[in-house]
Amino acid sequence: MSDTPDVIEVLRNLPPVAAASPDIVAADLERGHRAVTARRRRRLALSGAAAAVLTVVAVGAVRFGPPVTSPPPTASGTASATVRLTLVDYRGDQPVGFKVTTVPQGWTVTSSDASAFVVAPPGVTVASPSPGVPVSVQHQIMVSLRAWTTFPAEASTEEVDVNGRPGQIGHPLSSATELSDTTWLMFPDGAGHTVQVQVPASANLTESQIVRFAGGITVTGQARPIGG
Amino acid sequence: MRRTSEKDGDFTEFVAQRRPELVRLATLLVSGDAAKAEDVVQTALTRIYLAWPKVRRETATAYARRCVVNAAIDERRSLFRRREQLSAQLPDVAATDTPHQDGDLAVALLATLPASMRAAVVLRYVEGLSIAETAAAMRCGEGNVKSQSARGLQKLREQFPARAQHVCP
Repeated sequence: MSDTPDVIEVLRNLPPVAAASPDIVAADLERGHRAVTARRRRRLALSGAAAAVLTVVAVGAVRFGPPVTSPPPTASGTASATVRLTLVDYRGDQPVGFKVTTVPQGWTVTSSDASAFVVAPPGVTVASPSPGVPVSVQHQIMVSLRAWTTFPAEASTEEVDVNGRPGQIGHPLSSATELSDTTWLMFPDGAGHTVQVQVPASANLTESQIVRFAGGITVTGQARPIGG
Repeated sequence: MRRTSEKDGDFTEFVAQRRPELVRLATLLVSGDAAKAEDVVQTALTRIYLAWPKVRRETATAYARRCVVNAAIDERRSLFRRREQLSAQLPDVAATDTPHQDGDLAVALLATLPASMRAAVVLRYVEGLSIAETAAAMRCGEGNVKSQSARGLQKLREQFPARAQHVCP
């Protein structure tokens, strides 16, 4: 028995694996490239699905009146990227799926229903939703319930506190290799949902303002997630 | 974010350096099946490439090891794969082409361990990782690593001398 080798020594001394040839390494890289492309397509498809769902539910959307606030003093009358916005109390009609306590000063609610709450800066004209036509939320802040969206692997996210719950703030991809300047904040609502807040760079809100805005959001029982 | 060309260069260099040891780890985790081990490594490397911009160079090997462990476990769980036939006892005749090799016997004995116990034994004793490193690779608690690796090692040692004598009288 004494000359029987120890099983661990035997496993440690198994014949070494041969070095990988350049072809094998190149094939690994190629698989990585294909995976990136597939992931990008998947995300685009999910974004398309989100837009389609948003269109369907936005058909009956009501355009709310502006909150009782004054527009910010900008030279052009539109949101200026150089002027830091402030959050003000929201006093308009409360939306169906989400209740909010603050909005950026001067911004108006352009769409509100069970799937999303969207506010736009002064000067941004939003066409009335039509059946089958995707609704653009470019330059607008959107609050929705997350379905499948996740931060890209390339994004470094930061943990933030939203009403005592851990949220994550970061950026989505704008292309396969570039991060967008749009900000996403995702946080749990305490009822099993994850709320997603999408804020364009043009809103010029600080991260703490975005967190404060998110902290004033209450998800109602009517809210439902949209794909994307 | 790193540029794509820089990212590809770093990744290629990493794969060229580390692939053999990842294949070796995967081979042990999937009980010596070379084809399955290659599948596991390819899956793991693809996941690593997707996350590569966020992977720090100093922790890349540990991250890769974790991806291999996860891919090996996923491989076992996949409904589309042939299920391994696990048995508490080795067959009377070793199922490898060269049954008289201690290495084949040791790998065959590893296959008799549950997947998580096998991973704990391989990472802790064969790869020589610390308990903390093994726990990180397996994404479980250190206590779990201690108990799984100790019980796994005991089982292997109980079987190995007897089997070695039986197969190699």
